[in-house]
Amino acid sequence: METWLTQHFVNSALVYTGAMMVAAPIIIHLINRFQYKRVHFAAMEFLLQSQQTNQRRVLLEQLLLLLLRILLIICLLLLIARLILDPNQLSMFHGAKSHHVIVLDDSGSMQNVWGEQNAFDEGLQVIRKIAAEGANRPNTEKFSLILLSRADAPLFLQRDINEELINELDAKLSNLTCSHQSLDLNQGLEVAADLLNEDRAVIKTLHLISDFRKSDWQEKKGVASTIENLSQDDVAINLVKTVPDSQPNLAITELSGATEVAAVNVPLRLRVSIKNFGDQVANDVRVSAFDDQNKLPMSIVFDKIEAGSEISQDFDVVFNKPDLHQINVSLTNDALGGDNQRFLSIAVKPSNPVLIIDGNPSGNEWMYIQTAIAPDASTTGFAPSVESVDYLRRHPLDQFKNIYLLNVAELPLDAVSVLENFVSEGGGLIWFVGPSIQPAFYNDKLFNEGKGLFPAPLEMAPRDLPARETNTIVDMQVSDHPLFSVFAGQDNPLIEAVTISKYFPLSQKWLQTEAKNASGVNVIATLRNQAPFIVEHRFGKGRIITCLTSAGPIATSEGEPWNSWALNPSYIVFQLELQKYLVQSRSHEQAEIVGDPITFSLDAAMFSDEIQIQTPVSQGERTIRLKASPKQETSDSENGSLKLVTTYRETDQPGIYSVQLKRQDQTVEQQMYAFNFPSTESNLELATTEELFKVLGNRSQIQIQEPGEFQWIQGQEAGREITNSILVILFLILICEQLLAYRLSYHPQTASAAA
Amino acid sequence: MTQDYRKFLLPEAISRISRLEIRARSIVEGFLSGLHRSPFFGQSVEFAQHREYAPGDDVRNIDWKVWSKTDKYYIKQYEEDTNLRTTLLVDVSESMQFGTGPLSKYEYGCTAAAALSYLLLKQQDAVGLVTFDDAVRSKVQPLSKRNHLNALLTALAAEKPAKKTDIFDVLKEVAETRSKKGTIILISDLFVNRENLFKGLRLLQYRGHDVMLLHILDDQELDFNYGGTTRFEGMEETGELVCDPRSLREGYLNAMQEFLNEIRRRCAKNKFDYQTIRTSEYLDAALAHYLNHRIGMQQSIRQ
Repeated sequence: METWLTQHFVNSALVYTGAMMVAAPIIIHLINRFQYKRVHFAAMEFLLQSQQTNQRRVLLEQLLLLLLRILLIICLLLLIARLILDPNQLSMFHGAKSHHVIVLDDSGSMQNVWGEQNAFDEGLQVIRKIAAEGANRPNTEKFSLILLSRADAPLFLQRDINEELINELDAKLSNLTCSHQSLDLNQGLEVAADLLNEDRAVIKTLHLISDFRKSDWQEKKGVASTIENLSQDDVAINLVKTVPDSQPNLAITELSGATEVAAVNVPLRLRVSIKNFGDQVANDVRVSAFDDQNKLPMSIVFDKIEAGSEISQDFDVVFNKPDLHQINVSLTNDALGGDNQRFLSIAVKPSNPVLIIDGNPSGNEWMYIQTAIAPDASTTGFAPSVESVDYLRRHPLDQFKNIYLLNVAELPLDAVSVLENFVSEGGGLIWFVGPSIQPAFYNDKLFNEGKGLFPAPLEMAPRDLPARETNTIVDMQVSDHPLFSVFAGQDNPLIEAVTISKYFPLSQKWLQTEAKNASGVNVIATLRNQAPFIVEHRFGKGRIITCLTSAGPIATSEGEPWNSWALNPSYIVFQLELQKYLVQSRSHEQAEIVGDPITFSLDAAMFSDEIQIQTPVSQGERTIRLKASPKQETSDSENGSLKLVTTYRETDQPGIYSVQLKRQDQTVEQQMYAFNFPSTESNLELATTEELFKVLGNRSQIQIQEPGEFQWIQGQEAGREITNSILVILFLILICEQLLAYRLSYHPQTASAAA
Repeated sequence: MTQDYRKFLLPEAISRISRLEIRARSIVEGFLSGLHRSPFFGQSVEFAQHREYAPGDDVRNIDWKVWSKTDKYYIKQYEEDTNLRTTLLVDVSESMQFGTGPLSKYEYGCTAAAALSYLLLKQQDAVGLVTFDDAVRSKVQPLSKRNHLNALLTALAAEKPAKKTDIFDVLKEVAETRSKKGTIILISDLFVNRENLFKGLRLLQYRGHDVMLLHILDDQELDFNYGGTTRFEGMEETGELVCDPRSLREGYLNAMQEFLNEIRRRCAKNKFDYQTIRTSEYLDAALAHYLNHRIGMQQSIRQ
């Protein structure tokens, strides 16, 4: 009974009192019956006569009146005690033992600002109100708070709501800031589901406080199914919206460039992309760029960005000092602040060493390469060094970005393994064939059945490409690979002028049988006869580009050059692009997304275990010291060397994290990591209530609360429709009661008599 | 004693009555020997008319002067300047004790009786009184002496009503004892058996009496303006009832109206003069009605 009452009445305690009040009309009636005046009356004859004829009617009328008055009291009671027909609508707070699990979405999009408010603060306000309302009913409510960014460690776990909790909550909430990360709602919901399943509270409520962006809810089956499971377990689901309307938002979605080849005084081309997530055209969008917090004397202007479209612009930055540079671009403020900035860390080197191994030292192919990539050290930033094959065996290759192997007949086996190491660590390797090479060695040791550095087996001899008869077909047909993006477009005169006369064909047998299965081997340019010309494949972390002709115009026995490409300007462009392209895979990503951890795995022989990290300036620069713990590397390739490993996870703030690693010789190695706001959070389009119901199904346990409304916390919303009905009924009963009472009572017509 | 009967002569009533007297004078013939003209021809000084003699007429009334001139017997007819013989029949039963205004029905009835007596005595008319409840309680013989009023008032005041009204026996007794024709004024609430009442009244009419009913009713009996649960205790052992009077009011008023209609209908049928008088009305209402009645009577009886 008690449970039933608490489930159907907001103020269930009033029901008993109210039930006693129902007796009031009866008691008043009885009192009236027993408290009478005595009148000696003469004309009893007529009175008795009247009573005899009217007895039944009078009784009925009086019973009806009594009934109406009782109904009146009952209606008032229902209004005051707040009847709720559907217990699921009931406010969370109604006296029964209940457990409120709040999942607060603190993903980056919750920083959404409109007017003076922001979504995250709205969410905090809701939490405070829930706790405050719970505190009004001591010893009945339990409270858990899960932050989405720290779903595994709930902020509060099954705590009774009392004064102490409120104080603690206040303290914790006032220090709480919204994260910048892109977070999965389902993760938080699953933690909440586990919590609720363990719990035995009578009434379980899950509050999900979020901005309910469309992108979070559409095609996210996980969330819907978690909520469905919860609602099947009789958990009331309360989805609390914190943002009233979708806000327009501009976001910098990309800041990138070939930062690996950044060198002093060489202009580095960076690309900035802006996406308009709103539904209006954005005009005259200005982007400022900063180098180490100094504004660069340029302004990047996007005249017009259509709604929903993304536009990119390139700009060049020149660095004067070989150092670590932090570049950031920023937009003027809009609804979401986090995505108005984007960071990039660039390690600017004096130059980028490139190793060129020419198998034919007497030849001059190296010269073409060298001239192409570094006509002058200061213009391209590359520092090529030409060495013989032996160099590979004797010197460490780590310092080089890329290695060219030109017309190398054979490689010593130890040189092969060194090269394999180099490439698998992320180095770039470029093969150019030539008359000197030994196809047998290449096929056997270098191709090594697809496991080696060479992409495919070769035929035993080079082949001639017959001369062109017309100019309509070019010798070199490029795909839309990034390497050839500069040549994109029809009728490129530079490419047209290239003639290729001799090339090493790939094994016909291999092409017919295994080429399709050889994943990762990608023909990026073909010859006129459709034979592969330039092939790309990956090896470990690195990339290998194989060009099936010579690097320079080597004359054949007939005196014809293998090709004329090295004499063509497109050759230089290709070589420079090749450098940039190959180095991209070299080390960590150019920029990370906030929340991703920085993992350190340092060679114990070189570094001490002290790591110092400086957090971004924007959030108050803090220095954090980490101690890496030694770990024995088990992989064979490292020969079991000792590694110092640690992970830094507090990368929530977008910006540049500078890391200082201490070497064993007490010198310091600087690294910079740029962390950016996830662009998935930038789309602020909200899911409407209807859409949410569509995703979740229209279940009675699921309630969606509109932003800025807090009545539901007090349960004022619950049973509103029944309240209106009761009010109407009450009104009707009142009218009936009055009419009947008027009819039953005597009204002397004093006014008309006087008139 | 003095106090007792004086109470029925309220100064207000007396003053009204005095004014009435002026009105009365203008309508009643005869001042000293009776302000009222008798409806009957009798021995009087005032000649009225001649009528041809018919056998059986009193020989003394033959106008011999006319005989001498016309040799025909004519008799002289005179106005009978009688002393009007009025008997007031006052109901003093228990039901008359009811009253919600300043006066109970009994008090009102007595006051009206006293006023009428005063008026009549002042005009030298003979006034008698019979008070009754279930039987005749007291009788005062009609006399026209001015000091007769004291006797009348004493008889009224001495009554302590307690019993149930039984009217036929009373009326019968009155009819038997009042052999001389006169006016009988019944002052009562008429809460009696209607059959017996009219039987008795008709008996009086047969005896040549002029019957007049002054039906005294209290405001509450006519309007029934009671509210709230009330226990009605019937006077004259008529039972009791606890009820909400509002709910019964309509039925009660219907019953009362039916009762009044019946009385009126039967009075009209029997040519009884009837008037309902509320106790809240001025006392002179009874007198005014009486005087109106008297004028009407002259016209109605003597052609």
